[in-house]
Amino acid sequence: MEFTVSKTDLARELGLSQGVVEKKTTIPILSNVLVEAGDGQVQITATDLELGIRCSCPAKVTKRGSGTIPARRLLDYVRLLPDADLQVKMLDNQWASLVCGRSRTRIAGMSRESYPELPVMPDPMVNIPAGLLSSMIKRTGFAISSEESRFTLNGALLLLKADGIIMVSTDGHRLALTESKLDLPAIGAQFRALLPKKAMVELEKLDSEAAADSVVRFSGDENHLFFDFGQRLLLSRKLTGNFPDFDRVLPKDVPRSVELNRDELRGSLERVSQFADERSRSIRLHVGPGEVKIHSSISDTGESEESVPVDYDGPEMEIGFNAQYLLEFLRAVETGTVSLHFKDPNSAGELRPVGSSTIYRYVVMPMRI
Amino acid sequence: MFPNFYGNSQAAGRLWDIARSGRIPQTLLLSGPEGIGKATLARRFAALVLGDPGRIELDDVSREPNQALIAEREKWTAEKRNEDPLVFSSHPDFLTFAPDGPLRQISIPQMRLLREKAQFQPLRGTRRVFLIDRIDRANEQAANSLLKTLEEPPPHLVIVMTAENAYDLLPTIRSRAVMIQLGRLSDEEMEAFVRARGLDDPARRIALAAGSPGAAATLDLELYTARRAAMLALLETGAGASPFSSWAKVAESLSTRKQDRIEDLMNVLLLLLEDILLLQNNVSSIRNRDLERPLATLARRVSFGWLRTAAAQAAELCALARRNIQKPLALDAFVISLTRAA
Repeated sequence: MEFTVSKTDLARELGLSQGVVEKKTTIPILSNVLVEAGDGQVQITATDLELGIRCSCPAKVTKRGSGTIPARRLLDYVRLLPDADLQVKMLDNQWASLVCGRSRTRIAGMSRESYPELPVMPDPMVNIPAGLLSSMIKRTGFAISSEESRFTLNGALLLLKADGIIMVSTDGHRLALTESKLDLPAIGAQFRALLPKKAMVELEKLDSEAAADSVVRFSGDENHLFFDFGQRLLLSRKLTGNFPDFDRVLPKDVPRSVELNRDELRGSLERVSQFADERSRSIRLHVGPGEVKIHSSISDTGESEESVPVDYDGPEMEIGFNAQYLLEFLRAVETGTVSLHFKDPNSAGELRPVGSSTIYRYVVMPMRI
Repeated sequence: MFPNFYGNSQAAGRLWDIARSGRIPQTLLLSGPEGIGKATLARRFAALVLGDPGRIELDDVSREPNQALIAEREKWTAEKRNEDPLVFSSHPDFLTFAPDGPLRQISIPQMRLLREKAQFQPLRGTRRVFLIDRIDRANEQAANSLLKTLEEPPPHLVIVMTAENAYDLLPTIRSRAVMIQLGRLSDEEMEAFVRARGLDDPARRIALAAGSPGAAATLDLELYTARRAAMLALLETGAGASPFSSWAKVAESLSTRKQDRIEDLMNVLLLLLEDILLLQNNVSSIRNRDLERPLATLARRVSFGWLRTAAAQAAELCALARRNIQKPLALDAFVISLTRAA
């Protein structure tokens, strides 16, 4: 294998594949990237056996072929090179020789024979506009459970229907749901899959890098999900298990609501929660005529109270919440105004954006105070 | 039947039928003495279920690169090993969890990793096979963290565990598994194995391996002879047949040899005790045939009670070795207590 490639192109693609490269050392070949030179381009493949990524960039290929090179070392070195053309050549002893300007380097690689084969992407099922998935991941990713034992919650539910895409995540204390309306007649009844957290992180990266008017070709089979960005392909094994029936979690009966300025509420919460109990992060929202008072229960560190003006004339009510959960929503939501829907201190509260066409619902369980 | 697998035809036949029937229990437990092919059988079984036997065989823990990796990890700090738990997976749907660290244990992080990996669907086909080699090397916490996965494994997952003695395990683990017992190989089966592998000095190997092909294949005769000479010296001093000074010389050279771990020495010593007992009862088919004369002398000298004490203490030392006791001190104390018992 022998090719010449722009250093900037190679560094960018290597950077994108880095998140997928296995950090653990017990399967050494997975710390390498597979480099394949073909018709006018090089392909770079990385996998940790659960997730796989294949990026390509244009190159002048003198001799086709392939080899594997330690991913981290290659990227660290290529980044330091000047912006110029880089000549890569695979030697007979599995070493890769890199020549760029006046620098010459050889990196010990490994035979490609032991590199795992990635599954082949089936015909695409639907096209999704670029940027859509990453915005949905931003709205739901933070609510995924980090508790290992609840493994069906270690990812988000991805639901494709003829009229749109729904993404839902929960950790049992809160639930984030977002829906994007899209005409997807090819889906038929529906397509349901659990998308692992790590795949969401990489997908968000690739999707935000994609050109604005491009599309993501999506497909799935029994065991995998595929996202094809044209020059880049991400594939992930599905998670097994049944996601909870989220429809039953969404509150049906929330008679009262207030509208709040996002940044005001966020600022107040950030300040007040400094004095909340460190473990439970609990704060109280007191909704009364004309204002929402936020205060932290007395703890060893002190106490704090703030109020945010609202338009409300219902009965006074005090509900406890985990401040962290509220703040994560306020950091993710795009609109300047949000609405808080609630019923009583023992029922779940719900936050929604105000004045946006996107469907985004965030349900938070109350805390006993 | 499974190609290139020797002995235990009943257990192998059962696994073959299970794999062929497609109705596979989600948790299997293979038990039997060390080196009789439990993990090998598990790999052959996995190859039948998943295909691609070549890749699966790469995960054989006794292969040189894998041994080197485990030896290398011994030098790591415990934190580093916990961050990067030991797992082999040359085949994407076959994972091997093997004992790790200087104490060769199955760790909690390994079992957590198993739980995490278990959630992912197979790369190809409908199944994944996870092998936990030596689940009896898992401490109670590690074993407990496996219970939930054993109880409700994802539909695609088959967990194969191996253990020397199934009854050493927590009953909660044992009761969740379909048990398959393996035994030592007969001399004919051992001969077929040794011949197929083309090993040197077949008769002696077979005699010393005690029906364990794994032991026959890995037995380093030279090393074994050296260890045996040392353990014979220990017994002779312990029985009062030779003065302490003759043991002291042996002890000095033993203490500098790191490769002779207490377990290795005690396993050799137990074989010697077994031979002495056989000679006392006029059974001539002993394992260490070339040492018949010194062993017979010892046999006349010691009582059954002494042999029993020696065997019990040897077993205790093996257990304490996992607690990292000092080899030279432990061996000296062993000799002294034997002299008292004589």
